[in-house]
Amino acid sequence: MTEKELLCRIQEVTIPSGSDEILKEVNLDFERGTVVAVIDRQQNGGRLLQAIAGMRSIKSGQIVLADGLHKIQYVPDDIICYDSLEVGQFLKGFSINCKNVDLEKGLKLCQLFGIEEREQLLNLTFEQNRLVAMIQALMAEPQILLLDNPHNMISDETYALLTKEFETLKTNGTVILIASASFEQIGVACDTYHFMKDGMLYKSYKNDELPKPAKVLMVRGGDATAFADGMFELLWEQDEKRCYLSEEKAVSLAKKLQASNCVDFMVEQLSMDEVVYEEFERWHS
Amino acid sequence: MAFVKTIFYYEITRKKKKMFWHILGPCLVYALLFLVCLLVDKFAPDFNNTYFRWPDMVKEFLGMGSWNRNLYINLWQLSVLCYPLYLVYVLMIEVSSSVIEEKRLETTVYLHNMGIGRRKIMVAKGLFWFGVAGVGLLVLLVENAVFALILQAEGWLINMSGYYGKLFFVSVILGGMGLFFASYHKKEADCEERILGFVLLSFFVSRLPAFLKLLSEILIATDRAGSLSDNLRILAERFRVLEILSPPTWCWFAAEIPGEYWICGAVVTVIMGVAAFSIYGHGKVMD
Repeated sequence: MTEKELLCRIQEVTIPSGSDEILKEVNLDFERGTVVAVIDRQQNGGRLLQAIAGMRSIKSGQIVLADGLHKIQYVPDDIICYDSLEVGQFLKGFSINCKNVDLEKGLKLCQLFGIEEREQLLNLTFEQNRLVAMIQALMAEPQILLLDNPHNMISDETYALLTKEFETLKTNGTVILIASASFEQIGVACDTYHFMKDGMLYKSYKNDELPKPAKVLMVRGGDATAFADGMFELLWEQDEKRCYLSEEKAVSLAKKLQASNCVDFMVEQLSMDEVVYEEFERWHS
Repeated sequence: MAFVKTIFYYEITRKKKKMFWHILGPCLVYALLFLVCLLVDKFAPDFNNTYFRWPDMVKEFLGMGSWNRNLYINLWQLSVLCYPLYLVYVLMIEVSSSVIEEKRLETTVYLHNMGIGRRKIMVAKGLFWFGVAGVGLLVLLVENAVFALILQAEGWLINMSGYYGKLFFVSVILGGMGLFFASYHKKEADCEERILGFVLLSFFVSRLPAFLKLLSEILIATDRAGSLSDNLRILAERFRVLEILSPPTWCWFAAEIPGEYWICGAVVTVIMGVAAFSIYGHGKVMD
């Protein structure tokens, strides 16, 4: 690892699943003290996280970790632990194996989230079970924290509490890597966003470079091309004509269409995911 | 070796009741048996002499030593014919299900986070259950040695020590097999069925030579000696090598087990252990 701040570098990594490849020649760098999102509707971001954690085989390429980096914690997406162990026992076992694990911190976090130390893991709710997994990871004060769909099964209020812990870790130099199927779930809290589709990484944005939310104008029937006028890019999809444009332009065009009284049209708000994935479709075609 | 402590901690926490019964259950049974035998010896002193005068061919078939004047020692001799089968079956089931259950409980991910990979899980679980078997056998040895001393049958101490020592070695051999079964099974129930089949089938096949010999002896004892009884005896001698298939019978007192069998057992254990380690450790947690 030559760059001073680089903790992990993914080079041309291809991940197989049976005879298919779910990720193809992915290249990514993760810098110290950043929160990075990997967004993939097909949820292959989680597989990438598993490969970084050493839990999934890679077909080719390599994952290079910074010298001396050994504390990687992976919090799975939907794995629920049906163990008969009590929460306190489960966390204590972790502290037996790892010297630097702060058991006190783990138990305090349990209190914070209202999880009884004496409760068996198999009796916890889905949210509590996921929180125990998060607490285990947080106890270890990892250098790389891998969160697979961290919002899954966790309420917004609880996630807000978790975010504070993540911020503390980030300040201490931890890379927090979040895999999600949707930008909307993650929001704008990350430093970098990597969008993936069909196993390929096709777009990366810094937080301040994110595309603005856009409107889509859907025109059915009529001669929609007449309204193109070079104002916007026109895409054809089956018998619909869809135009992607800024909100201001969408309103202006809608007024024109209303006045023309010749076509059936509607204006819809696009989510950030749709904006990016529509871009991908255009790029891919 | 901190990972061993963690796995041991989880195993003890999860299965303390089971362990308690595996170790102390047989002890309680023997203690009860001892008390009953004392009472029978006191109130019906002829019982032992009347009912424990079996023909030599039956004793030979069962791999038993000579009868003792104490009823308890005789009953202990009979019990130790079955106990190895029970012990190896329980050990194989426990060690294999202990490895497989980590996947079912979805705890392999968390153990991986703790720096405990699949290979470490297998090694630690193997060590743990071999340890439990060892402790259980040691407790039984001490208990029965005390009973033998109380009954003034000091000569049996050597027999008992040899028996429990051999049984521990046999436990390790079969425990290695249990790990091998666990390495390629995903469900505990499937694995248990195969282990039961393996233990019983190998036992019955290994006793085939002794059974042929018993038939031959019965023919001779009933004045039907002839070519059939000779052939049965010859067949029994030829198939004697089948005795190697079932290690639990190696511990029986009168079983004449060549030293090569024990070497073969050690080699098989190493092969099975390495194969299990390799197969189980080959895959990643999420593959």
